[in-house]
Amino acid sequence: MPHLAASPAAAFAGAVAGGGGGGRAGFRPLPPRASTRARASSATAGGAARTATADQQQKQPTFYDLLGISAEGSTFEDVRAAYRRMARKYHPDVSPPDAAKEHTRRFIQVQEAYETLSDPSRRTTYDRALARGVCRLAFSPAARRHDASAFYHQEQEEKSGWRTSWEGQISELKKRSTVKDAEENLSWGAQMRRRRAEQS
Amino acid sequence: MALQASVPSAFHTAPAIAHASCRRQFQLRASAASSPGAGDGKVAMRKEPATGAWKIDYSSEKPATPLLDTINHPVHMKNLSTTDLEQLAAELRVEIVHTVSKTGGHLSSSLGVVELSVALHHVFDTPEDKIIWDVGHQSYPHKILTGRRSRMHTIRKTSGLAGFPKRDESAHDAFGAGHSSTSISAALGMAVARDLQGKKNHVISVIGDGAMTAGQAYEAMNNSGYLDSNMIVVLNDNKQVSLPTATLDGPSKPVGALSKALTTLQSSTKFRRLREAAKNVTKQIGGSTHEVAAKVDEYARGMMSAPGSTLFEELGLYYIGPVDGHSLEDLVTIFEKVKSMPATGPVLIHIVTEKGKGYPPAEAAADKMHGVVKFDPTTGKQFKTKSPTLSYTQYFAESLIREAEVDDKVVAIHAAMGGGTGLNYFQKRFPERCFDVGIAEQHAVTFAAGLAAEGMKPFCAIYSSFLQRGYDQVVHDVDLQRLPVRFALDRAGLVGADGPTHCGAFDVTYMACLPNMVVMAPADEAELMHMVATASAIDDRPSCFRFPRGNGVGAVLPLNNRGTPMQVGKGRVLVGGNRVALLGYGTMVQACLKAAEALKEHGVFITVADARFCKPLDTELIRDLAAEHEILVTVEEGSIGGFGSHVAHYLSLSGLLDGPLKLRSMFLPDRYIDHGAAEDQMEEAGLTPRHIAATVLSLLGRPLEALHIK
Repeated sequence: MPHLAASPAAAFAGAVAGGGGGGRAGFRPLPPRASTRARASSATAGGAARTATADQQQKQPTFYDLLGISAEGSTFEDVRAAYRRMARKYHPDVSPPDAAKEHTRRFIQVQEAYETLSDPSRRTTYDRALARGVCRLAFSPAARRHDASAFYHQEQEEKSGWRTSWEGQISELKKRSTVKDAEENLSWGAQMRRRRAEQS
Repeated sequence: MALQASVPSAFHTAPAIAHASCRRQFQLRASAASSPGAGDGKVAMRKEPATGAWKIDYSSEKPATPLLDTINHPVHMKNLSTTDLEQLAAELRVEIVHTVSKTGGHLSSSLGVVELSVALHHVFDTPEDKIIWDVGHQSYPHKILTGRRSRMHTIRKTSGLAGFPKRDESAHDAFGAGHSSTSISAALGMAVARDLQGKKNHVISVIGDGAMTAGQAYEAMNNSGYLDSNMIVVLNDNKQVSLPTATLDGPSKPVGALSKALTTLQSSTKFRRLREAAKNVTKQIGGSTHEVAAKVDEYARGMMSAPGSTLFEELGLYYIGPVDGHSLEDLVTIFEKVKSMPATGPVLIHIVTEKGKGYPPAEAAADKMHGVVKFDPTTGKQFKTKSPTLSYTQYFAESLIREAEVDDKVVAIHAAMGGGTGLNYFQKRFPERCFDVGIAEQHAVTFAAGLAAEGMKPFCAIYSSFLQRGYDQVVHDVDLQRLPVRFALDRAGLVGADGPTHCGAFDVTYMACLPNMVVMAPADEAELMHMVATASAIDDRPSCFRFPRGNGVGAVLPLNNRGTPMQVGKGRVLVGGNRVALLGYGTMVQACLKAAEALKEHGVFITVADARFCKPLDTELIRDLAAEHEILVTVEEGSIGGFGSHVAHYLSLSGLLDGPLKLRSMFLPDRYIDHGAAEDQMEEAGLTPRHIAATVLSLLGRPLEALHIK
């Protein structure tokens, strides 16, 4: 599925619009479908709005941008060095009086970035959230109290992602195990299992 | 029932006992529960309504564990529902924390596998089914669930439960463990035996990500993939690929490339991004398109399996995961499904857990409270006894740092035991000169050999019993080529609560028989520092020195903790006497000195000498002792074939045994000494000062006094 692999965001934005339009024409007007239709139509509208916010979010810097380091490959030392650089630059005590307010805001953001990126588990969760495109500047100071539940929900989502994947693996294993002991399989274990099956 | 309302129950759901005959017992329980501690309405263990997770409050006294009280054998768990199993897991956690707080032992590893243990015993039927725990320090929940709960307060104590699985202890312990990475090999052996005998039981091995760094795990997986016998390997991944799990500054970063592969497995960004986007699309489209999208998803999954799982797939194991290792529902589902399939071959289930889960002080600690002494369950603070002297390990680390300060060729190597060998201190001081190779002693030894071949001065700090793993490398790569690798053998001799799996009984034997090795042992911590300097100075051949677990005796340390090299092959006489000479090796010299003191009261004044070197022997000292005394007793804390044997062979070859000399050797008996307190083990081994003095007296023809000595 090459077109799926390439630029997922663009492809799916297009697919949303196309699917929504096609779906609306194709659905028969039954009550459950109506709600789906409503969802689909609002999805297109919402999709447009969402792409707008996505663009907006594209413009918003990530924690990595704030600190001026790369997302992959930057170690704890890089994070700390970058934080120190930024902190020295934006600390309210050393900033000129007219830029104090802006610098203070920046400083708080940089501090937040450092706190998230320096803790390995928080950093991993943040990376995953980034991957989902859910949030860029994830935690504004006002939302700090929601941190715990936000992390919790992100972790839950990730875990449910795991569940889907291992459920698939189990069904695959089930399929494989029905044909595993066919005559062609010459492994020692298969031979022993066949022999035991014949004897019982 | 009015009774239920008045009982300040420790659980949301009160037990549904309604028989009249039980009512009286219920009344008694109620009065017990309304004692001052619990009567203030404080709930110690409850289920959170929002998330369904159990919240345990450790600040009050131990809550009741009604469900766990009914479990004496895994068969009692078969009819429990998932909700009951979750309650059981919470009660198990409480039990483990409170038990280990009183006995000491391994805490957080057990806490991390509570759900796994419950799920395994719920689904499988030990002892017919075999569960093999790698290393075994996480088997406390397993022991509790298999009928040993009442004896848990004796764990790691003399004549009590062992701290690791032990076949002699219970039929549910399928295989003994203590050293790591042996579980898959053992499980494969059991699976093959089952196939040959036509049986139908299941074989499960539980191995951690740290133990996966050892080569034997791969040897076993490779073979199991080839043989294709049914078995389950549970990979317990808690992202702690090094134990005990901390440097001085915090959690140690995972060692090696394997952990990166495992993390990739858990969170492959591109893969997840794609699947998340796909999920969003199907949600928005809805309806029948969802089914099409689901099919697409299935094909995509087949093509893009999580990267990193190919490591196991290439070895021939079917990979399932990652799985939330704390979700009983997930674990039970997976185990049930895999159990029901008749021909799976080897399956690897990758579960992700958190070490110390459910006990906040452990979750927060840098080393996750891996191994603890008695502690306070409320705060997690350990009651570390204050000692006037430090441990031998610390003296070793200190003197090695001093050596490294003046000589920049000194480097240190250890095998995932930074805390245990004291090299964490070295690492802090010289971060680029300390190498943690993971649980890979064989590699550590040859790695050190490579370093030595190019002119460095490597110090390999490996426990005496763990060096057994790398013995061929010591012989073939180090000794045969005469490369100057220095071995610091910690935990030599009996080790107390860990038991025979960790006992360093054999190192004198297996090191002193090598032609080029210099073998020495210090009598106290000052001697240890001098031997570190001596080893550093020996540059033309390999050398080793051994020191025990425990604290120093209070010797006067050299200036600045920097030892001075001593003359190789020279011992010393500590106490002068007549007729009888004790020739001690290593810290046994302290026991000899105490025996000499005790014998003074019987009017016997003996000579005590410290041999210092087993190879090369101080032959001049031995000749002098043989010439001036009637009786010579060698004392060491090692097995047969060690120091005593070398002295005996020398004396016989020199003809000194043809005369009036009486020679006796005291060493560890020819059996494994069980775990217990250090004093009890020495009693059992017969190497206490009392035993030494009694031996001297009976050799002097005073057996009655020997029997009555203090």
